[in-house]
Amino acid sequence: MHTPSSILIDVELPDPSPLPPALVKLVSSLRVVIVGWYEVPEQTSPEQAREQFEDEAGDALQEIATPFEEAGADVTQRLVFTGNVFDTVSRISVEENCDAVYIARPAKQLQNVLVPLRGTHNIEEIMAFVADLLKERETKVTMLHVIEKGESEEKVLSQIIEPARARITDQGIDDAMLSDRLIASDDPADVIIEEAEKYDLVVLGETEPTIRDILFGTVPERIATNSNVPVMVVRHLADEEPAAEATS
Amino acid sequence: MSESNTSSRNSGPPLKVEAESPNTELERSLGFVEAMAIGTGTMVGAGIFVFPGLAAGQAGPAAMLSFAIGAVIAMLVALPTAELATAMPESGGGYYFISRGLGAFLGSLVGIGQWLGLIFASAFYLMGFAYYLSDVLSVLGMTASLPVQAVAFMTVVVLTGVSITGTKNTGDLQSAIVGLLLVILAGFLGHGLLDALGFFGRETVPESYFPYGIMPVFTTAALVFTSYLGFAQIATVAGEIKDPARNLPRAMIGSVLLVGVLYVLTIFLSTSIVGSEALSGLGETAIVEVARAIFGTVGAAAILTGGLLATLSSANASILSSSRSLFALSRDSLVPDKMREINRKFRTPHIALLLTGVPIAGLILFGQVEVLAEVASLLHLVMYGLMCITLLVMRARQPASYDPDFRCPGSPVLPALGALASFGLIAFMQPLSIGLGFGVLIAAALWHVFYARDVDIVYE
Repeated sequence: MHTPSSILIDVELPDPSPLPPALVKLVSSLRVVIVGWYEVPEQTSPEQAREQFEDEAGDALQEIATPFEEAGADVTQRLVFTGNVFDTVSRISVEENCDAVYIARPAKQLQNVLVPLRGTHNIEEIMAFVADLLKERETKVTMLHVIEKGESEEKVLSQIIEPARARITDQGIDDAMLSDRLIASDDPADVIIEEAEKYDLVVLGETEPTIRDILFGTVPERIATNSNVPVMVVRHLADEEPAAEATS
Repeated sequence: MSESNTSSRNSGPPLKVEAESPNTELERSLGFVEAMAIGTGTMVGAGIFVFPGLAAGQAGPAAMLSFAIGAVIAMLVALPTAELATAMPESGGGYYFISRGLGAFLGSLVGIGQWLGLIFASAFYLMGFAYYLSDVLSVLGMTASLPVQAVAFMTVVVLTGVSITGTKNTGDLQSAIVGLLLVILAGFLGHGLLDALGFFGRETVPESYFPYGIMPVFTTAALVFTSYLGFAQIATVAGEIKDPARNLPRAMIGSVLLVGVLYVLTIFLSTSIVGSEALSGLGETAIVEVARAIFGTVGAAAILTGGLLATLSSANASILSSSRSLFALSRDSLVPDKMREINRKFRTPHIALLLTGVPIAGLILFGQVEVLAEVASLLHLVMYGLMCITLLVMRARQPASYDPDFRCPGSPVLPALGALASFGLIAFMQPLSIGLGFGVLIAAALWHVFYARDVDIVYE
C-alpha cells in the first residue's frame, strides 16, 4: 500500500492570508499537515499567549483546514504558540515526516510547474513527490537543469533528465505533459529565479549547502525569498532515516 | 503538565485546571547556549563591570574571598534549584517551586519578592549603565554634566517602551554580547594575570591581604551577591527551554562556575595592578582603569563597550523575568488577572511590563546603588533559602508527580547548608537594606492576607 506523499503548509494566526483554491485542489490527494503558528515576542511566554488566544487561533486554523478536508485531503492540524517560527516549522516537518514544505505566494492557477534539478542526490525524492502531486491532473511539468562549467549536455540528458522522466512516467503520468530545458549559466539560483516567473509553481529539492550557499543563502532559500511564485521544497531525508518510515 | 497541580479559590468556581490542551503546542525555542547566555549575561553586568571598585574599597584584596563566598552560596542553591527545575519545568522559577512545595502564603511572599527583587536589580544595573554612559560621553569630550540618575531614568523609559512594543532575537544578541564579553575578558585576564604575576616586569602594588580585617569580607560578600542572581532567572523561563532535563541543570551550574571563576580572577587582577585604594576611588567603573593600565586606550575602550552592553542586557533580562513573575502569580490568582493580559497589537503583557518599568524609574530617583544591589540580593536570598527548604520538603513528601531528571547531590546536608548560608548572608547587609527588604516582604504578606487569603495551591 503506497502512502501518499505529504506536504506541510504553514499559516500565520490569528489572521491567516487565504490560500488559493487551486492549491487546495492540487494537494487534495496528499497528506496535508497544516501548521498554524501564533508568534509571540520575547516578552511573552507562549503559555501566556495560549491562555488568551487559543480559542480564536484554533477557530482560524480550522477555517483554513476545512476546504482541504472537503477536497478529500488527509489533513493533520498543528496549532503552535512560538517565539521562533523557523524552529517550529522545521521541527514539525521532521516530526510529521513531511516530504515537502509549501512556501506561499499569491497564485491564481497552478497549471505549469517548474522542477529545477541539480545534482543527482535527491532526484529520486523530488520525482516521487512530483509524480504523487500530479497524478491524474492536467498539469504541465518542465524539468530545468542549469549546466555549469565542465558539464556536457549529453551527459546531463542521459544521467539526469532521462532517469527523472522515466521515474515520473512510470507512475502513469502522460509523457506529453513533460518537457525539459537546459540553460548554461554559472549561477543556478539566478537562472531559476528568472525562469520561475514564467510558471505557476516551483518544486525543488533541498540542497547540500556549498560554501557559496553558506555565504549567499542556499538556492532554495534564495528562490523562496526572491520569487513571486509559490514554491514547494522537497525535503532531503538523511540516509540513516529508513526510507519507508511509517506515518502515524 | 500535571493535572493535580492546580490553584483554586475556596470560594467561587475553581479556576481552569492547567491541563495541556491536546492539540496546541508551545514551542521551546531556547537552547543550551541561550540559557547560558541568560544566566551569564545577567550576572557579569554587575560582577565584572560595577562591583570591583566598590568591593576592593570595602575589603581590599580579600574582596576575592567575598566573591568566592558568593560563588559557593550560589552553587549550594543552584544544585537544589536544578533538581526542582527539572521536576517542574514550568515558567515562573522560584515562585513556582515554593508555592507548590510550601503553599500559597510563602508563594505570594516569594513571588512578589521575586518581582520586586528583579525591579531593584534592574534599577541597580541601569545605574551601572548610566555610570558607563557618562564615562563614554566624557571620553568623547562631551562633558554634558547630566546626573547619572537622569541618564538611568531616560534609559528605563526607553527600555520599557521597547519591551512593550515587543522584541525578537534579543536572545541572539545576548548570546553574542556574552561571547564578546568572554573574549574581551579572556584577553584582558590572560594578559593581565601574566602581568600581575610579574612576567612583564611590572611592579605590582604591594598591600596587605586583609587591610580592614575579616568582617568586611562578609559584608562585601553580601553586597556583591547581586553578581550571582542570574542563574535563577534561567528557571523563570524553564517552560521555553529545549530539552530542559539536560539543559537546565547544565546552564544553571555552568553559568555559576563560569562567572565565579571570572570574578575571582578579575578582583585578583584589579587589586594587583591598580591597588585597592585607587580602585575604590574610581567607583562603579573602576574596571575601565584596570584595562587602561594593562592595554592602554584600546583596553579602556573595549571594557567601556563591554560595560555598556553588559549592564544594559542585564537590565533587559531582569525586566523580562520580572514581568514573567507577575504572569505566574496572576495565573494562580494571587494577583489580579488583569496583570497577565496581553496587548492585542503588540502581543506583550503590557500591564506587567508597566508594573515593572514604573517602579524601576522610581527606584532610580532614590538612586543609592549599594542599597539597590543589597535589597535585590536580600529578596533573592530569601527565595533561595526557601527553595533549598522546598527541596527537602519535596524529598520528604515524595508527591507522585515529582520525578526530577537531575538529582541534587548530598541531600539533606547540602540543601540545608544552602538555606543557612542564604539566610545568614542577609545578616551582613546594611541596616537600611535590611529594613527595605523586610518592608517589601511584610507588604507582600499583607497583600496575601487581604487579597489572596483563600487561594489554595495543590501539588501532588
